[in-house]
Amino acid sequence: MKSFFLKHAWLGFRRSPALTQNLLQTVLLAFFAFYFAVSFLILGLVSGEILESLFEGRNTLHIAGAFLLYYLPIDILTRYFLQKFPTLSIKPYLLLPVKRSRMARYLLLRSLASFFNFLPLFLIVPFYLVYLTENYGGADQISFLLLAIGIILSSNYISFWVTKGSDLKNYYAGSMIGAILIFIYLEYEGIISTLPAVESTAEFLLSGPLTASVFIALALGVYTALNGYFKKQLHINLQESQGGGFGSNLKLGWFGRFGRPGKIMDLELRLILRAKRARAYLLSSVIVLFFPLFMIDESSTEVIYIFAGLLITGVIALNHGQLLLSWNALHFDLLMSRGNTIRDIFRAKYYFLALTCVLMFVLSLPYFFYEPRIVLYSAALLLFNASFSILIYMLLASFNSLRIDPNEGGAFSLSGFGAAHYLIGIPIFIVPIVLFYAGKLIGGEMTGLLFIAGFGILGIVFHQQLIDGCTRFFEKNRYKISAAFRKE
Amino acid sequence: MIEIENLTKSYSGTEVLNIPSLKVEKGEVLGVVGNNGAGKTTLFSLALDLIQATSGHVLSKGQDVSKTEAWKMYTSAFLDDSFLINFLTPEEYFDFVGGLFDVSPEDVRKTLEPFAEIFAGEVMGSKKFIRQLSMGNRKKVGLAAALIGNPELVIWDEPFSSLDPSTQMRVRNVISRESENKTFLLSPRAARKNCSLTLKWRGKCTTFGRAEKG
Repeated sequence: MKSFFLKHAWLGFRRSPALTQNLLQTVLLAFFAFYFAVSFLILGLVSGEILESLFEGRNTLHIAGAFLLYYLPIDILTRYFLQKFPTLSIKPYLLLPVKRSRMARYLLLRSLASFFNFLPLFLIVPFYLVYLTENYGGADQISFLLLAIGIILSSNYISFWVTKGSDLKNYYAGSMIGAILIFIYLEYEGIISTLPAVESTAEFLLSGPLTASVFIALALGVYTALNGYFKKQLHINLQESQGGGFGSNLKLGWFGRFGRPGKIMDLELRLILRAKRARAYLLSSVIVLFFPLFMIDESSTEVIYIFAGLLITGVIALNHGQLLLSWNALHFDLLMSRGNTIRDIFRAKYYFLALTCVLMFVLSLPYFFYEPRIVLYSAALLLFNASFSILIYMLLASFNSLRIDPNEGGAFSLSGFGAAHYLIGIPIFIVPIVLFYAGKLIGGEMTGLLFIAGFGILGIVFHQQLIDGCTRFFEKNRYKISAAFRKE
Repeated sequence: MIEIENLTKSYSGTEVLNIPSLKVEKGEVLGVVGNNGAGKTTLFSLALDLIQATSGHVLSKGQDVSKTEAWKMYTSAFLDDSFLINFLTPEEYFDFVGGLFDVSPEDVRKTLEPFAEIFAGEVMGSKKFIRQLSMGNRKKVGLAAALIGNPELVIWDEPFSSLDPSTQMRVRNVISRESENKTFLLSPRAARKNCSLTLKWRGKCTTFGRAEKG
C-alpha cells in the first residue's frame, strides 16, 4: 500500500508558507546544509591521517570509536534543541480509519529522514572507504560500521524519547549541558582525561561484530519502547500536558509599575520563561557565557576580545531581539488595537533588551578573576549593545514578517529562521571593530574602547528620539507585517 | 461614534467590501448580518486599523483610525484568538489588559463580576494557560477582556459562536446591560434591542437597511 503519510509530509513541506514566501531563507538553509555536508566530507576523507598523526602509536580504529562515543551525548543535546520530531503531524489522522500501530510506525520511521541522521554519514562513509578498507581487516570494518550506525540510530531515538516521550524539563537539559560543558572544559585544559577510559570501552566494543551491535540493540530497545508508548498515547493532548504549565505559579510583575511599556515588558518576561521556543533561545544564550573560557588565551587579539564582549553582553538581545515582534505574532492584533500605542511597544522592547544586556554583563563579572580585560571590553560593548544593536533589531522589525509560535519547540526549526538573521551580524560586528581601530590609531587601546563606549553612550542619550524614528518607520509597514503575522 | 465614508477593500482586484456611508451613533448596538465572506470581519478589521482600506476611511469620534492612535484608549475588540495571549493564565491576561488602561487588578475583578456565571468556575483560578483552554472558554475570556477598561466602543466578531445556548443568553444580557454606556458593533445577531446592517454577499452593498429597534 502506498503511504499517504509520506505523500502528505512532502506536500506539507512543499506548500509550507515559509518555503514559498521566503525563498532566500530556503536557499540559505540549503546552503548551510550543503556547507556542513561538504565540510564533513572533506574531514572524512582526511580524518584517518589526522587521527593517526595526532595519536601516534595508538590504534586509530579505537580512537575513532572513542570519538563516536563522545559524539553520542553531544549529538543528543544538539538534537534536543534543533531537531523537530513530527508527532503533531499525526493529528489530522487520529479520527480517520488508520491503525494506531501504523501511525506509530510512521512517526518512528519518519524521524529517521532528518538531516541529523545523514550528516554524520558524510564523515563516516569516506573515513571507512578511504582509511578503514586500506588499513584494517574485514571484521574490524564491519564492527566499526555497526557501531557507527548503532550510535546514529540510538541518538535519533533517544532524542525522540527525550523530547516527546518523557517529561524532561528544560532545566534538566540545562544542567546536563552545564555538566557536559564542564567536562569538555576540564578535558580541554588537561585537568582530567576521560580518553583512556573511553578508548578502552571502544576497544572492547570494537572487538567483534557482536559487541559492536550493542548500540543497534539499544536503538531497537528505545524504538520498541517508543512504539508501545505511541500506540497507547497517540492522543491530541500529546502536545501539551493539562493543568498548570511551566511557570504558571510565578508572579512575574516586576516591571508593571513603569506604566504601559512596563506592562508589555512583563509580558515579554513571561513569554521568555514560558514559551518553549523562547526558553530554548534563552538557554542557548546562557551557554555563550562560557565562550571566553575556550576562545581567549594569552595570544588572543583585540578582535577576539571585542567579539567576546559583543557576544557575552548582547547574546540574549541578539537571539530574542532579531525576532522582536515575531514573538508577539499570535497576539499582534491585540497589541495593535488596544490601549497601547506602537511607540509603547517599541519602548518596552528597547528597555527589556537593554536590561538583558545589563544582566548578562553582571553575570560575566566573575571573569574579572580570570582575565580582567574581558570585563573591560564587555563594559564598553555593553554600552554599544544596549543602544546601537537594539536599534538595529528595532529597524529590522519592519522587515521581519515571520510568524512564530513561541510555544513550539526547536530553536532552529524552519519557521522564524529569516535571512535577516545572518545579515544582522554584519553591522553589529563591523561597526565596533571600525570604531576600535579608529580610536587605537589615534591614542591606543583605551581610546579605541572609549570610542566604542562613547558611540554607545550617544545612542543611549538619544534613545527616545531613535525609538521614535523606529516607531515611525514601523508605522509605514504595519499593515504588511500584521497581515503576515495572521497567516498560518 | 463611528462614521464610514466610501469605504472599500479589494484583494488583488476583487472587491470584498464596499460601504458608501454608515454612521453608528453612540450607545447603539449594531449587529452586522451577512453570509460567509460578506465582509463582516473585514469591516471590523478596518475599523480597528488592522488592515489598510483600499479607499475611504473610518472615523472614530471624527478622527481617522489609520492616522491616529487615540481611539485605542476607548475601543476594545475580540475578533479571534489573535486577541488572546496564549501563554498567560486568564487572570494574568485580564490584569495585563487592565494594566494598559491603568485599571487595578481589584477593579478588573469588579468588571468581571457579571461574568462569574458565564465563566462557570472554569476560567478563573485554574492556573491553566489560555492555550490550554477549550474553544468556548477562550471565547469567554476574549469577550470578558474586551469589557475591561470601560471602553466606549466594543467590537465583537461572532460573539455567540462556540458558546452553549445558556451562555449565549447570558452574553445577550451582558450586552443589553453594558449598552447603557457603550456602543456595540457585533456579528451576527445581537440582543433584541439591535439594529442590523446587512452586508450583501461579497461586500457589494448596494442596498442595506436597518431593522427597526425593538
